Parts: sequence; C-alpha cells; structure tokens
Amino acid sequence: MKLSTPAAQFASLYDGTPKLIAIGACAGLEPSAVPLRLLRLVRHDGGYLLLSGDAGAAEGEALRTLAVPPAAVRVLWSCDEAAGRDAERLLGWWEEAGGPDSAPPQVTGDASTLLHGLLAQAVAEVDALHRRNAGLQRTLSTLREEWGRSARLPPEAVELLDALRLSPPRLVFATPRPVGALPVPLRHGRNPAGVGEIVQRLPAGARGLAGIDLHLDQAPKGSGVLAVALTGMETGEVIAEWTLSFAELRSGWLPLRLPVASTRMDRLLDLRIAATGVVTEAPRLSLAQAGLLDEYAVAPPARAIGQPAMLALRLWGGLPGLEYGPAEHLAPHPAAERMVWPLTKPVLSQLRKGREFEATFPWFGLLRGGRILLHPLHGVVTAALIPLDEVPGVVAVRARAVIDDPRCRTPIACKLVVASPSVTVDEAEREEGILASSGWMVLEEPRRRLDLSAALASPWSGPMALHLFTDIPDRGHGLYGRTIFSDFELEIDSRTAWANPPALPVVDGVAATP
Amino acid sequence: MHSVGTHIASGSGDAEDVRAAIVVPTYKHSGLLVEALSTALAQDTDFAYAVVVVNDGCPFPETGRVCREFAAAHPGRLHYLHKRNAGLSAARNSGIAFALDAFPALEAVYFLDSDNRIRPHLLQRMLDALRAAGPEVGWAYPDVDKFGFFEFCDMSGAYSPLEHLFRNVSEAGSMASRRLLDSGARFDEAMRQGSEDWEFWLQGLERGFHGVHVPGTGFGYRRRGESMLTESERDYRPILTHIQKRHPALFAVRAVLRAEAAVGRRYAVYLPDRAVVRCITDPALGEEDLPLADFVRRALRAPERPGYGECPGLLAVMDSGLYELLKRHRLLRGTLWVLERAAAQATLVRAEVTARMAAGGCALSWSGAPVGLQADAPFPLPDGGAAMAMLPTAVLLDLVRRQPVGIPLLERDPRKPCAEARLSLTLALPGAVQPPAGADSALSALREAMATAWSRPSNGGWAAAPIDRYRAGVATPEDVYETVHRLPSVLPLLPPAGNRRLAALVADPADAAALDTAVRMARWLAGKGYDAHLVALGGGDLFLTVEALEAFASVIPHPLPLVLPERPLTRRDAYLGTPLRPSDAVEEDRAVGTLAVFDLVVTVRHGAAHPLMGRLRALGVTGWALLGASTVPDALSLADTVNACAAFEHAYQTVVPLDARTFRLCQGLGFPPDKLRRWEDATEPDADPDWASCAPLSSCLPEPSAAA
Repeated sequence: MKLSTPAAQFASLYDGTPKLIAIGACAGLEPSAVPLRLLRLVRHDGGYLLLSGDAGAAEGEALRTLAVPPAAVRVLWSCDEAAGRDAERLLGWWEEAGGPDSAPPQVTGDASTLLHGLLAQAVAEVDALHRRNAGLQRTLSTLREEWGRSARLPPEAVELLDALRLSPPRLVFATPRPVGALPVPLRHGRNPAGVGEIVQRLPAGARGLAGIDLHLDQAPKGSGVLAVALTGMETGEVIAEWTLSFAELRSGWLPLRLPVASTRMDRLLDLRIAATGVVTEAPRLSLAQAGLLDEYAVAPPARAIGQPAMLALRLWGGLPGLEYGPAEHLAPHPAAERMVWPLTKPVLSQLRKGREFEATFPWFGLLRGGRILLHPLHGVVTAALIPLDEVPGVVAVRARAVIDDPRCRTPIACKLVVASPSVTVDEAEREEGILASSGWMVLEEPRRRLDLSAALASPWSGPMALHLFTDIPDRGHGLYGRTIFSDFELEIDSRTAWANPPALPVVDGVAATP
Repeated sequence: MHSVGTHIASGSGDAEDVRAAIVVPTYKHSGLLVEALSTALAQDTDFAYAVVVVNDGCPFPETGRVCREFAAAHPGRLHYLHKRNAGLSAARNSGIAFALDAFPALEAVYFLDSDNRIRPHLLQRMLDALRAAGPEVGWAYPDVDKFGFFEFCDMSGAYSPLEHLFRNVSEAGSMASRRLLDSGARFDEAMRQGSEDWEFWLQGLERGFHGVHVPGTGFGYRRRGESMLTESERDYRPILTHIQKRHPALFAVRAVLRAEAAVGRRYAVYLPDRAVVRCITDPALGEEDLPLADFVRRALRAPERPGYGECPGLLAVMDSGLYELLKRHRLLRGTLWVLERAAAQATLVRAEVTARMAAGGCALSWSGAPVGLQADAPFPLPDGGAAMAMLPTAVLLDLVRRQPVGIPLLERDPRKPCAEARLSLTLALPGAVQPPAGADSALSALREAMATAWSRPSNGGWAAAPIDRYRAGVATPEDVYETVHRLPSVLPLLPPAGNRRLAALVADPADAAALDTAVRMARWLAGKGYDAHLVALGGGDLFLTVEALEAFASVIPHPLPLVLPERPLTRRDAYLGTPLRPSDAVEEDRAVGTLAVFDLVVTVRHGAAHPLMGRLRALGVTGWALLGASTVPDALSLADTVNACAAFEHAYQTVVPLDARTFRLCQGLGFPPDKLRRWEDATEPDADPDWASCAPLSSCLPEPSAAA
C-alpha cells in the first residue's frame, strides 16, 4: 500500500496533536465537536492520500510518501462497510510499517458511535493518568527516601578513607614563577564603559576544585572592586564570583577559595576578571610563560619574556562537597588552615645524588610514578636531594619509604631531612643547621611502608632542599635492600602562605572574607 | 540568544523555518528518554530547530507513552515516529529521511541517543562550526564527557583521517551537515552490534568530507557497566572487519599509507651537522625540515595534548652527508626501513657504517647482533662509533621526562627481546665517503636539548596539569597497521605522480642469477607501466652493477636474519617430502609489511618468500612466482623448488616457469594450467609444443589504461 500526503502537511502528521483518520464518506461529525485533528483517507492514483480536514490536494502539489505511520492517531473511523476494505488495508500497512500493536483502534459506525468510542477511550486514559500520577509520586518518594537513608560515597572519598592524610586541599596545578604583568581593564572610571575583561582558561575541571590563587603584581591604588568570575564553558553558567575591594588587596598571591570543594562536573572552566572603579594605579595581574601549551594563553593575548603568557595561578583541589575550614561555630566562614603541596614529577625530576658512589648495580634513580630509588651501600650512607624553588608557609614535609625487594632480609634505615639550600649533605646528615628531620627510621621488613615526617618549628617560605638518606644499621651488605621513597608532599600553613586573606565567593550579592 | 524553538506554534508552516533537527532514536530506554528529550528541548539557539523521536518498535509501552506525551506537550517542536523494530541504524535513517522531507531549510541533523544528554549551547555551537567551515567539512563532533562511570575524552586537535581509521573520534552525538546527508551517507542497517556511528562517519570520509571538532559543547555520554558500547567493545574485531569490508578503498594498505603521509611523518631524522630535524615518511615524496628547537617543542607537546601525527614516532640520527648519499642512490627508504625493523626488536638501534667509493656498481651488506638480550639492567646512552641510530621517539621522551638531569639510563622495553640492536652496514657506491661516526654523541646532544627545554618550568610543569591525555602521545605505525591490517608497520613507499603501479621483485641477494632475472623482469615491467623495486630478501652481500641498479626504482634490503640469530629449527615441515622452513612470526610480519604496499610481488626463484604470499593476497597484492633451476650451492633440486611453490600455489595468481622443463614439472605437480604463463621476453624457442603454446605472461597484466 502506498500512502502519501501533501508535502505541506507532512511534518504535522508526526506532531503530538491528537488525530482522527476518517475513511470513506463519513458525515455527521462537526470538526469542532471533538478536540482532534481530522484526517481523511482518500484513494488517489492507485494508492491513498491522507488529507487534513476538508482540504484536498491542490493540482500539481508535491506529495511525500509515508514510510512510518503518523503519530498520535487516536482512532480510525470507517463509517460504513464500503470503507472497511480500505480500513483493513490501512491497518495492514500500519502493522507492517509501525510494528505489532502499533495501529490505533478502529471504530465502525456513525458519528455517535465514534463519539461513544472516543469518550470511552478518554475516560480510560484519564483513569490511567491518575494511576500513573500516583505511581510517579510514589517513585519520587521512594527515591528521596533512599537518597536520604543511605550514604553515597564518591570515589574520592574512598581514596580519603584509604589515606586520611590526603584530606587537606592539595595543589593540583601551578604555573611557573611570574615573569610579567597585565593590567586589569577598568569598566568605569577614567576608561570608557564596556572595555573587555581578562579571560583565562583553566587547565582543570570543576569537580573537586577548592581554590584558585592569582598573583597580584601590583595592588591597585584608588577605589573600586576587582571582580573575578569562574564560569563553565559548556553551560555558560557562573560557578563562583568573587568581588574584592581595592582597599583589601595587597601585592602577592591572592587566594580565592570555594566554601566547599566543587561538586560540579564542568570540564572547561574560564576565569573572567575585570575591575570597576577609579584608580591612580590599576591592578596588575602577574603573568607566567604558557610554554608548551599555549592554548592556555590568556586573552587578550600578552607575552612574558617573548613567549605567549598565561596568568600566574595555582589551582587547589579537594574532595567534592567537602568543607575544609573549621566548624561553623569556630569561624564565620570556612577556609582551610592547612593545604597540601604534592611534589609532582616535574619537580622530582630535579633529583640528584647527594654523594657519588660506584656500584655494580643501579642504586640511585628516579623511577616511573615519581618514585626514588636509593639503595643502601655497604659501609657508606647513601644520599640524594631534591631542590625546591620557592614554597610558601611550609610546616611539614612527608614521604613514604619501603623496601621494594621481597628477598631482603636486612633492616634498612632511612631519613628525610629538610634544610635550606645552603646546608651541605654532610651537615644535613648530622642535622646541623637544618629546618626539620624525620630522624632515622628503620624499615624492618620488605613491602611494609613507613611514613616519614619532618615537622618544621615554624612556617618556612623560600627555596629549600629535601635530603634523603639510607643506611644499613647492622653494617652488613644490605643485600636486596632496594629502598624506594615516594608520595612526597609539603604541608602549608595557609595563614602565613599568602599575603592576602582567603576570599570566598559572593553570596547573595555580598562579598565574604573570613 | 534566545530559543526560537520555544516560540514555535503548532502547525506545518513552522517546519519551513527549521534549520536543525535533533534525531533521537529510542529503544528500551524509557526511563532515561525523558532526560534526553528534556535536554534536547532546552537548547538555546538563534535558529529554529525540531526534535524527531524515533521509537524503534520498543516493546515497553511506557516508551511510546513518554513519546506521545512529549509530542503532545511540544506541538510543532517535537515529532514522533513509531516504526517497526529494525535497529538503531534504521531508526536514525528514518529520522534523517523524515527531517529531510519535513524541513526544507534543514542545514544539519544532530544525533542524540536516548540515554545521553546535552548542554543547552550544543546545537548552536555545532551548527555555528559547520556554517563557518568550508565545503569539505561534513560533520562536527564534540568532546565526550562520560557520566555514570566518569571519564572525559578530549577529542580536540585537527581532524585526522588516519586516526579515524583505528579509533572512532566522532561519537554518534555529532552533527551531520546537510551536504553530507545529501551525498547519500546513511547508517548501515546491517550493523546491529554497535559502532555503526563510526562506519557512518567513515562514509563521509570516503565521500571526501572531513570532520571538525567543536569544544565546549557539553555532550554527556552515559557510560554504564553494560551497554551497547561495552558489547561493541567485546565484538570489536568482527565489527572492524565488517567496516573494513564496507570501505576497501579507505582501508587498503596504500590508502592508509597515503593517509599516514598526509597527516604527519613517520621518521624524524636528526641531522646534527645542519641542526635540523628532517621529517619524512616516503623520502621520495617530500621532506619537512624543522629547526631543532621546533622539533623539541613538537615532541615535548606530544604526550600532553591530542594532535595525532604531529610528532613522528621514530627518531633517527645520521650525518647529512650519509643521508644525502643514501638518498642519491635510492637507498634511504630501505635503510630507514631496516632500522625500523631492528627497532621492533630493541630499545635502541645503532649502526656502524663502512663506506667506500666504487665505480662499477653498488655493493651493500647488512649484519646485526643483539646486545643485552633479555637484560633488565638499565644502561646509559652509548658513546661509541655508530654512524646511524634509531629509537622510538616515545623512548627518548620518557627518558627526558624522567631523568632530565644527571646521567640518563635507558631500560629495555619489556616487549622487546634486547636492549640494543647493533647493526653494521657496508656500502660501496660511486662517490661514497666514510661518514663520521657521530650518531651517539648527536643523540646525546638531542636528548640534552630536549632535557634542557623540559627542565624549564613553563614546559615540564604541564606534566602535572590535570588535563585529559586520552589521545595524547606520539603516533606510531603500530597504532594503525596493527589494528587495521594486523601488521606492525608497512614499507613507506608510495607511487609517484603519474599513477604508475608498483612491483616488487623478491630475490635472494646471494643468488646472482636470480638477481639477473630480476633485472630483466624489472626492465620488462617498466615497459608495462610499473615501477619495479628490488626487495633483497635474505642474507649475504648484495652486489649490483650500475646498469642493473638503474633497472630498479629503488633497492629495499630485507636482510635475514637481522638482529636475532636465526632460531634453531624446533620442528620440520615438509610438503610431499620437500623440506620447508617454518617462518618466525615476527619476521614474517615484517616481511609482509615490506611487500604489502606493492600492486605486484614477483618472487624470483625464492622459496622463502612463498609463505608470505597468502597474507599478501588477502591484502590485495597480486603474486607471481618465477620458477626455474638455481645455481646457488646447496639449493633445492628443480623438482623440490617447484614442489615447494606448489605448497603455496593457491596464494599466487600466476606462476611463470622459466623453461620447458620447469613447465613440465609444474604440470606434473598439479599447478592449474590457467595459472601458468610463459614470459615471452625471456624464454628461448623450444621444441615442446605445449610450452610454446602456453599463454604469454603479458596476457595477465591489466590493460595499460587500467594500469595507468
């Protein structure tokens, strides 16, 4: 069976409007009597045409063949026996094209029979709607109850349980040190309104984002506010917005914090920065070289020592949804007191030997996954050191040590020492003039990890060196004493690490600082 | 921006304005369909769009109910098609057909599966990208943000037709332009196990279209523990086979090689005396010289960002004088190929080169030995007398990233048997001078330059950035050829302009008579529209006169054994009493890779090549066997030579006895008479009437017009 319709009516056959298909010379039904669009099936050129209302197909009008039955047809109405054959053919085609049980019900008879059938159908549907609505309410209620009753741990929380010390916010990305600056455009004041803003794409997604540090090369002089908005590119929504009075700003790192680590899933984030006010000196944000990945360069474009530049920034991450500050009854606004600065592979790759020795086997090196091999050697104390550029407010350094080779039968001693760069390896081993030491710790058996922690007496800001030592306490040969150091991290005191106090996003139009 | 869609009133007239349609096929996703439809209807656009839901005969009644309710609630915006179940492809095709018929101003169709969801700017950004693109762009594709089991797949970077052959970079949640749909591209309704979207976009590629990546669209892909995708991943190989059969022109070895050469380069050859890195695939088809700093940047970026093929996968080092010498004598391609072969066996390949001037021809000899076989001890970069070196770029990158300071230590790749392959190449060529043995120090200098750049915080610091690296990395030949053809690599040889066909004459370098036959065959084929290359397969020294050398378009050495010694026989095969040496699987792969790019492979009295021919035939290569008596000491008898070929006769299209006696033996050992041909230019008249009436070899060549 070939079924066609005028091209102008084709799309409307598949919309949600309820429809009635009348087959044959049906009469006695006022179109306004039922809230249905009336379609008529008529024979045409060896096939059938489906026409809307009383309209016919205009001469020469383009036709579209139907491959799929029309949507939302409530009933096929054939008013006499003569139309029965056409109705049967239509129903056969319907089953073939639309699949089993897809055809609408058929009514044969006069208009009152049709109305009676439609009325019965409508009543049944109202009844079904009531039942479905009740079922829906019950489903939602069950869902709410279930969510409320059970704890839902995100994968990151499992990691937290696995290593509780990971709980403070952690540094997830840092640009190199600032080497240039970019003035923040002023929206009002001496410049005309409508000037642009600074846009910086962040190399991280929103999930778990806990804070952003920007570096102010120069604090503004004048009156006004610095406005920073974190937006999700996929949605165009503002995730957080900070407004900071010029009077509060000082040069140096500016910590922008979220009250809880973000639970959002936005993958592409932009930081949009502008200022409003009257100044004698505009605020200037520091720039770092974008280096390899200049797709993260700042807009409008700027250069730092001849290279494309990005804003100098640090990103902090945590467990989504977790508050990091003290309890609400202890502080008016939450902000983490401690932050964790993990030593990433690029930092660890600066590892060097503390002392030169010859051995017939590999005893020193940086292995995959940021692990450091420092095999103890007979009769000497082996040493390695990791130089660190400027780090702010360090209060503790931590690492883990393990004997990697299960065949080892000798205890191995290891030590982590924190010192300023001017302290020699020998002085560090003797713990002279150092900042902190874990003291000698002994690994008694293979594969059992030992936490090394060196706590500083007071927060330290500036360059420093981490010294690692291994030794064989029983003066033996340390056979198979393949010792691995890993999981290096610094703990930072946020009160001394930043020149500016942490800023929290605007809530209901009011800027908040702890 | 505003949503015109929300203001469309019911009525067919509105269909005239629709610019884009979202086609949502649905089957057994009734619970999730609401979410997909809600996001489809919430698009923020400055053009009119429509949603077309196609119920693929879902047996769940609530699916139809949801569709009807949405259609009733959004008249004129959401159209509902209920069809008999025929699979996802058929449902999408019904949606496409409906949209093309219903919306005359349609510019594009976006495909949204009913368990996925989209952010409100997707449709606008996708259509904007298509509108801004040239006519060659047929579709726009997003990043894939998986939810449920969270994962983000960064699809950014320039579209790579090569990458698309082995990895589906365009999810089904992409937008097809009107021009692509008008070209006839439709989903393959025979594909019901998944990956039909991949095949659809490949239709676009075959029709001359490319895709364009659109960032920040917010396409959310629901990743569940069990889904059509996971089933498709399990059935990956048969699905890929089906796709390959649908697109033989895309997946032919030569086509893949052409795509490889188009999107990037396979070799980066550092020429230390010129301080440049020359990037090449087929040396005869162009070179790209990069200043050292540019190459270093390109290489260091490779592990961080997508950009398939931007950084060559194999790094070679040699002096420019040696490079030019090899290139001048058409030996460069073969030399790089030998180094690449050896690099499959070792972390580092080093070659000493002894070159001397020779007036009367060309002599070439390769030998090799393994160093550090199965050794686990790290070893420093050598500082010796190598004139050439090669290693995977990824190995040097790993070394630089892990150990930018101090004395770096290489480690044996656990997948390869030895730490180092030490090769030796002896050359006697006109104009040859002894090249400097500076490859080791040049390699160290290159590493130093990369390490210095990596040590800058603005470069190395990116390694810690929490960005997606799913598609980052250095492109290697294995990526594509292993997936598509189950070969580790293929010889980078493409026909020059003019569409001459490529023939390989496979001869043993130790068999001077076979080489002489190969020379005559090369000249004969040259007159028939072929560029004939000599593939010297086997051990021993190769010597060719100047005249002989000129008969070949190039010489491809394939020394056997190369790095590892020939394995002792652990079993003996024999065909009707004729001993056959079983092939080593790794070496066989490489030999097939050497020959797979040719239209025609002619084995010239070369029994060791017979076992390769079956795989070559499956790759579309025509095979001829030239058979005759050998003068090489310890060679098989003529009857055994013919019988050895008979064991593989099925893989050859044509067998060419070189004399009447061989012809009779072929008949006697059951070669089909239709396969036997007499090489009319090479045989003396003979009294054997059957041999004299044997069909000429030229009769099985394609017509010149077809060859051209």
